[in-house]
Amino acid sequence: MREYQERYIENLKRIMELADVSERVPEDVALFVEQRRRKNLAINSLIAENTALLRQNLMPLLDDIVSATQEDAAQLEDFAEHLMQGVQQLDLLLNYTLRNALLAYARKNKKRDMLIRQLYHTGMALFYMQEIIGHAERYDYRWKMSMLFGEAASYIKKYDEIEDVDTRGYIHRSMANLALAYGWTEPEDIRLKNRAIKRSFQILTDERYHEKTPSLPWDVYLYKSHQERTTAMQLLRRGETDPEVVRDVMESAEYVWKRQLENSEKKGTRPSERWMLEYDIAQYHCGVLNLSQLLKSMEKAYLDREKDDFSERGLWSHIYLPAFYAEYMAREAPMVGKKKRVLLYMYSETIKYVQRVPNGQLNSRLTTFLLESFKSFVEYPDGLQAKDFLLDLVVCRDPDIYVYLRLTADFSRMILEEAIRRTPEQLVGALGCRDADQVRERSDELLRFTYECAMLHDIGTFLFERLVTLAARDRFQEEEKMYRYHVYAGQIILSRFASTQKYMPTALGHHRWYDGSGGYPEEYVREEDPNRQVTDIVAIAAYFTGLMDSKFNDGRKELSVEEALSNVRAQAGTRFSPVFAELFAGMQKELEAYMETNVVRAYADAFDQLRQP
Amino acid sequence: MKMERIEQMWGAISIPALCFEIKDGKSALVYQNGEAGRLGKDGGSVLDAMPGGEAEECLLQSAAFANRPDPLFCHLGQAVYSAVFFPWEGYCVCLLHDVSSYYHDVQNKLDEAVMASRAKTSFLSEMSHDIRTPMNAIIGITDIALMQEETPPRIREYLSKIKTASGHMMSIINEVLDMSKIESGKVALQPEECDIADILHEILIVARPQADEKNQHFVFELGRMDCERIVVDGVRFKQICLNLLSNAIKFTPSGGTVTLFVEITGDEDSGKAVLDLSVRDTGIGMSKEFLSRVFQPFEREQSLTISKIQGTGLGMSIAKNLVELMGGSIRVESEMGKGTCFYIHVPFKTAKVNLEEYRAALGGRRILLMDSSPEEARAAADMLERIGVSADLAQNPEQAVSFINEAAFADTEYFAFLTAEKTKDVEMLSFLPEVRRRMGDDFPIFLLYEGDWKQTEYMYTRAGVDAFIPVPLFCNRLYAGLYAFTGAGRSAQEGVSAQSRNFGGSRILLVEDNELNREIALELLEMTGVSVETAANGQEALDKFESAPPFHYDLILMDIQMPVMNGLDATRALRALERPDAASIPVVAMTANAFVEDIRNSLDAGMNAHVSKPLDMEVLFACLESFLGRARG
Repeated sequence: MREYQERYIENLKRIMELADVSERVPEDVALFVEQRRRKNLAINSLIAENTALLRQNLMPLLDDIVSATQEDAAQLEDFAEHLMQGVQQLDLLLNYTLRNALLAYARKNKKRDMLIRQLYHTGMALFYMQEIIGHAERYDYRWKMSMLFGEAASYIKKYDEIEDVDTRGYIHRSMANLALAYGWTEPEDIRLKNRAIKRSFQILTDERYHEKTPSLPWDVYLYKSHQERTTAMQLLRRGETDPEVVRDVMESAEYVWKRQLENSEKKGTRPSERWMLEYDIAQYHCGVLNLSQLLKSMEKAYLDREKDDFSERGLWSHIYLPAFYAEYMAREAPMVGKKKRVLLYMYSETIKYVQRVPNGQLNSRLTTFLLESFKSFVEYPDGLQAKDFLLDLVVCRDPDIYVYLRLTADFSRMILEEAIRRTPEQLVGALGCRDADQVRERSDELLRFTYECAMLHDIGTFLFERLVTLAARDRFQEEEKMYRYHVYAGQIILSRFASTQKYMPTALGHHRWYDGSGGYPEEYVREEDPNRQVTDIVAIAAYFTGLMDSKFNDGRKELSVEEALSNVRAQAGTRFSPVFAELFAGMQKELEAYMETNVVRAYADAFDQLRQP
Repeated sequence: MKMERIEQMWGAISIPALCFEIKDGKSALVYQNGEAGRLGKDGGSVLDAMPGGEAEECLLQSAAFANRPDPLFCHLGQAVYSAVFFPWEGYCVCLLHDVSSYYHDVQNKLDEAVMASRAKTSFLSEMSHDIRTPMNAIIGITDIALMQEETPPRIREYLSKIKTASGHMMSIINEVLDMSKIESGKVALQPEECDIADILHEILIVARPQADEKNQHFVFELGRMDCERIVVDGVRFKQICLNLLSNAIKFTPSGGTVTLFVEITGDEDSGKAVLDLSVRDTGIGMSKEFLSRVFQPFEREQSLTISKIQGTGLGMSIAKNLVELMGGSIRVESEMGKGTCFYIHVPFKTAKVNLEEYRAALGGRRILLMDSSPEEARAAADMLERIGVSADLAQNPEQAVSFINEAAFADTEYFAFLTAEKTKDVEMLSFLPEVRRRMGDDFPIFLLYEGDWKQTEYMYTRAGVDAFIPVPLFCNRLYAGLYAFTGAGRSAQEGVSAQSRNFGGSRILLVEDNELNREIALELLEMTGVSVETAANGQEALDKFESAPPFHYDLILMDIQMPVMNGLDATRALRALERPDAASIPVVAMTANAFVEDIRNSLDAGMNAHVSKPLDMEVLFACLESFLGRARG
């Protein structure tokens, strides 16, 4: 690697260390807040340095990549590999940018082996990017993945001309990965996915290829392909009864399970509960097991979990397994009542488990697990409510985001209180209030709703956390586009329950401008939002909060209350509601007083919530 | 007894009264009082003293016991009477009121108004004619600027817009001229073989932006299209459609919808087809009272809503006259506040289409087609199938890429990629460059576009698009687009362009009195390699021709209206000369009045053809090709 590349990676790792607020729950919160501020300043200076490093050294090279020297290209490739560090993804989007450039270089300079390799790696970068925006049910990168993997895989026709073993490996991997470009939802996608899987299997099981390149890890390829094929389980869960799919799933689940057993025997460890369950589920869908038997098998697996296993496997058992249990239980209505106690017990255990997760593991992976499991959450009237699941379990996962939301919620409440007092007529319509008198009468309800709206408005961000909290340089345009999808992700999470649907419009619309002339997404139409005033208020409060924290301010500068308010006022009538922006701008003293003490208090609350007994 | 009763009742009154008896639906005059008798000749029946038509009308109305909506005036000598009919005891009584002074007064005013109207029409006609000269200059200079290779794309785009807009302005001027021609029965149609796709495209690129500008939804619906080559006066047909569309857009508020529907039924074999077209809007609509007058010239709805909307009030009248000239019919349905729909039904002759050339070049090829609308994709695939081209249909980029991958695995190849401009779930400007990279530089990529592609041509061309095919899709356009990228198509195109722009060695005498027009024509002509000599009027042209050796000139381009000697006289004189090339030299008329009678006059005077002004590059080149190419051959 070049010197600037090494420096960039060092800075990146340092930023990760500094940004890791989950490292420890502090005894002295005020000290923590002060340290955090200092850390953020340090992060900002590293970010500035990294941005400059790229601007000065990398961008000129990328501008004319096709004329780069071989050595430059080799260094870039090395740099790209270091940015990923396996699946750790130190800087996914920079990796993607480099891979794209290397692809152009290889294409232009007719370097076939390099081209195949870059096609594969660019495709993989897109796969990880797709994973992120997939949370928002956006599929922008699928076709390009398919294009790249497809082109690499098409070199199978020139297999004999290619001598390099690794390149041959990339061809096989690309062919297998073609299936990743399709989902299991649309019938046409399913057809294409199945076709891709079949073709890959055909080649992987063709002895001629094994003979041609015996040193390739054929077993691993096959194992991974079987794993991918078991994802067809999603079809079975939806009630698909295609015998071919059933057979494929059964065959692959059995293959994977068998291999798991062999491996665990070799290592002397327990086989993976996850794959055992996949196997059981496959058996259930194939009619070998009935629902009672499947649920029993799940209960057994749950009982076998290790209480303090906080590894990926532990997270799966404690968080995903109850989610699977809830999903399958809900397939038969009587089970929902019959198994209520079991499920509520599982949920209460999940809460305890989450609160026990040790320092250093309060990471985004845990949040993602929780939000994924929320998809099958079952809400009982006397059990944990969906809204509380999000507020109590998810929102506090990242203390920085929690505090950001908490401040936003408090500011929203302050604006609303002022509005109820001074211009209640402006709130007519919110929560169905017919006139100013009703606004005053229902002020408690309005305040509670607005507070919750603010706490949940950025719930989608948790699924895009890597793009926010781990930014190690100025954001690329593509990242900005990806990040903007967090509003859809929020909307999707909140759409799952009738009790959370009322928060959806604010989650979708808090970045859209009041007058519709800017912001995003275009799908949010203020006039159609039944509680548009609440969204207006939360939008102001969220923007204001972001300006005062260098981590959330795009300008990476921490503004004073006065400066932040002046920014709000300058955009009254365009970005923000003129009425609420003016009300807010008139509250400077109150806000300054709030900021004096409440930031520390908010962090203290976040840590308390993380560790609630 | 009855007569006594009649006499008693009507005999004594001081105004003329007539009494009719009705039997078997027929009316007969049975009584006239003294006052009426005085109006008859020599004491005879008053009916006999009336002009024939008026007497008959009296009998008809009395038989029906009714007054017609407009008053019946009866002329008796110098006096004029208004007749009022009403039933009385089984008879029909008619009272005649003397309205002479009112009638003559109104008649005089009407005469004055007609005179004034004629003067106005004449003024408008002359003024419009005068505006055409500077417009010629604008259009001509724009053409020249567009021909310059170094014109930057953005400027080129602006120039194209100037060209379209000035073309439209010419059509407005022509509207005024037209009406006067129509009123005097001088309009003659010029039916020629043309493509309905071209006509509709030209209509849409004018109408769509107008609707967009008013934030309206413009919907174009295509019904059955049994044949695409038709014989029609394309210019007049476009004029009709644009009149209807611009009216619909004008009277529809922002957010409303304007729908154009076109269908051609019939078949090429019988040579006959019928075009049904409707223009529907969700605009302000028309009152019932106005509906009866909508096709009359200068008529405009007098409602507050439209008082601020400008218009000549000629559009609908011209449309109706032209449709009827074409042997068709026009009708309208409308409701206040809900909208209006105009329907046109016009019979046409069809023209044969020769698909063999397309089949030979394209048959057996495979195409990848991406369109998120399965119906549209299917329709396109059906068209392709007719010339033996098979298509794989993708509804989104993922499917399209999958087809590309499959083709690569199977070692088969696509001839081209066709994609709709707006396809679900994809940013075309990201997708197309990837297709270009994957498929290589020689792989044709076509964009099926709606609206005016010139606005986005630069972006799409950079993204890898080779050619644009307009939608709604028509067979001829589609085939020609694909054909151009086959071996046969490419060589045909190279041949045409190599030939058509090179007339080096030919000499033309350009006769034009307007200096600016002369300069423009000169520049256009010189681009083709011809050498040009000029004359400012017919006499000067005649002198130059006479003093030049025989066969010095290969062609004369002759303006018609010129001082000293006009083009027609000059041609007549030229043809009468006794020299070997006097009869054979091609003389092509250049005229701004592209009316049939003008052309006929120029042919009668000995001219060979005509090109209309403002000079259209393509038409001019075709003309040169036809005369000079032939001479060279």
